[in-house]
Amino acid sequence: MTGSRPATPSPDAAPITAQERRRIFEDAQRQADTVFAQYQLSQLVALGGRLGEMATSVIGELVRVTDATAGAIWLGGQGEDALRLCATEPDALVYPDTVPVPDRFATAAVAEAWVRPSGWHGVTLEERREIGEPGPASRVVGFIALRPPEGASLPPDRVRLLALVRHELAIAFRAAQLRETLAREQALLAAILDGASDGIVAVDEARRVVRVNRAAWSLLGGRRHLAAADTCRELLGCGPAGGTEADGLRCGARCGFEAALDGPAGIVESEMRLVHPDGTEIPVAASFSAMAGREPGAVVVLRDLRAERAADELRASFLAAVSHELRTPLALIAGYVDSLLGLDLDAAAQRRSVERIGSAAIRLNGLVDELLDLTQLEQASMGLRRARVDVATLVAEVTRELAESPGMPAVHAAVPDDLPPVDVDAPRIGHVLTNLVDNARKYGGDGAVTITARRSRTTVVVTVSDSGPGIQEDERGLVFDRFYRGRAARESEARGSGLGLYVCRRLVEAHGGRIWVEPEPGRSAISFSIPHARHAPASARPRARQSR
Amino acid sequence: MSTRIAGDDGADHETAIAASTLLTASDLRDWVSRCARILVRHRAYLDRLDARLGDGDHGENMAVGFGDAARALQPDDDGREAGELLRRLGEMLVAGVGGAGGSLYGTAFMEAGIAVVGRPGLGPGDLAVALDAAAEGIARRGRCRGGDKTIYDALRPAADAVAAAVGEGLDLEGAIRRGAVAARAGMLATRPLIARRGLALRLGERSRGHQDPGATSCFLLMRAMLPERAR
Repeated sequence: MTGSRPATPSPDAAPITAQERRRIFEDAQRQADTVFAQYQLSQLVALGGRLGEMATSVIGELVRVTDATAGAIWLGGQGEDALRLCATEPDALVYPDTVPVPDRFATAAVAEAWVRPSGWHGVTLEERREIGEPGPASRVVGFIALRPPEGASLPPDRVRLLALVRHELAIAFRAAQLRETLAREQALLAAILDGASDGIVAVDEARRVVRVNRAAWSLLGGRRHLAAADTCRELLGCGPAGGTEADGLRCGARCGFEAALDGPAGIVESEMRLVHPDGTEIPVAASFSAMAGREPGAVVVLRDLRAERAADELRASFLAAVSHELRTPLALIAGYVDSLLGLDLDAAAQRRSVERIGSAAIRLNGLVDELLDLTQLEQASMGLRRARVDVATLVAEVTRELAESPGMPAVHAAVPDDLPPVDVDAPRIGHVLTNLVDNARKYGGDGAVTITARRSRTTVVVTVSDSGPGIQEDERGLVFDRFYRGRAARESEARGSGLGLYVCRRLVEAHGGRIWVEPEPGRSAISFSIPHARHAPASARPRARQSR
Repeated sequence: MSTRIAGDDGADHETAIAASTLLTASDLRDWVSRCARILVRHRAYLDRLDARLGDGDHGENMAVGFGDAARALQPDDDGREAGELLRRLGEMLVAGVGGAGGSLYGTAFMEAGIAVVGRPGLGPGDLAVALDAAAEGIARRGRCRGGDKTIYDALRPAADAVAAAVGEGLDLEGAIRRGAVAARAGMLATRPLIARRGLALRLGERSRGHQDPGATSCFLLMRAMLPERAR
């Protein structure tokens, strides 16, 4: 090279002319240029980034480096052979003459066939598979085409550059695709797991916790105090339970994870209690199973049993209450029958006994009606038969019927005539009124019961008041719950199943209304609202109550 | 941390470029040592500039590469021609400076050396020729033009300014100072540009507002040529 001490030429060699020296120099320059261009492409793809951005910068760089007049890059999608146009240089939107390239190639072979007559120079980007892995030997990742200047072709050293970089580009684009797929899958998995209402905890072979979903954190009592929990034992608070500490992480024969990981395939079910830092205990049903897939692990699904247990308790107490309610009139009937048959009663006494049997039968009937209503309420469709009704008329009818029933208190109705009509199932609303009056009778003292009504902006409000002590403030929200009996009710001699106000609530809500205890102290009254006929919701089916 | 370029205040008591009118190989060797020290001092700053536009290692690459080159140049190299030393420096930088900077600066020095072959020392005119060849070498290897936001944006103005100074009859020191001033202006002018070369290319609009690290290191090298008292 110029400037260095010239090598001693061998005696036979002809001296290198200045022209040859120049050519050698320029060759060396071009080679260095190629290396540098390759380096810059390498740097570009090594930065990673989003697939679209990478495609744009790579095709831009390739067009510049090869002195092409235009370039385009197609990339393959997931699980299909087709290649879609991903980026062009120049950007078709900027320049007036859009680059006339196909949007899609069905396969790389089709792309190569397109390139040949078009004069563009094409390069297929392929990713090689490891020998022995299933599937074809190579997978097409993309295709690059460059348009040489008019009437020319790409310089040979640039063609060589493309050959040098194609594998690297294939790997880089494949990596970008996999990154995007991975991100999507992770987001989907997270959404599914966190959307689940049951808790899900996954552990690896060594019992280290690898995943906890949102519901599980909630069951476990929060993330903060468990942030350091590494193993399933720390997380779920299991004791050694028969195992020994010396066994490392084995927690003993009763561990569901152990059974799932070591035992035959299948689901292992057990019940556990999860204890919160504040002492709350949550009973859960746990289903353990081994995870399918390459790496061994196990998953447990935790179902909160509190609602189920509570429902069971309620059901048990309901059955007890119902049995009690049924038994009383039945006992009465049996008693009177016995005395009619066994005693020698005069006609008046006989008549009285029969009347009492009749009352007991009516009472039994009423209870059975209520139970039937309850069954219907539990089902999805209540089948309301609505009709336009004038509230004053309805109240008057109910009041008249009540007056004819034995044992019912005096009912005063003070309902204005000019209330807006409502769209209701009249017998059902009548039932609500009857229940409320009955409630007033049982717990409202000896005074009269009053029914009033008024209009509000969107509803008609009916109020049943009595002269009794009323419902305590802390119970006002609870009395409308199923089977709830208030303190006063429990202390009184009256017997009730706790269903009356619950039935009222369901019926009122089915009509789109509300029911509540009037809050003024000293006043004992319950009100319910029914929307005006034109305000009634289009469909007033009650939502099915969940079975647990 | 300050983002201003530290002044080279008194830390190195170098022999300034003398009032002599020629740059010899010995002067150039001293200059390379000064460059190495300056680049070490500004290494974190250059890395930071590069982090916003590239992969954040320009400072490290230049400091290491020039440090190795400075160590490799021996006193007995002083007997060489200036051009030969420049060319050799170029070869060392290609191998020793990482990143694109190595290739580009290496090319610049090699071309500069080739352009002034046969002259034992460099006068102002020779310096102009060398800088011009250096700038063109970078334009060719890096395939860049003015406004692409690269080393070229500092080097080209510097080369033009030195050529203009020679045309006005300034001496070596005067020409170098003009070159350094122009390099500085070119460096600052890279800030609003959108990158069209290198890694920053992919940032597009986001590359605006950041000073190019290559143009910055180029200015530092130019300024290092100035005599100490004039810096």
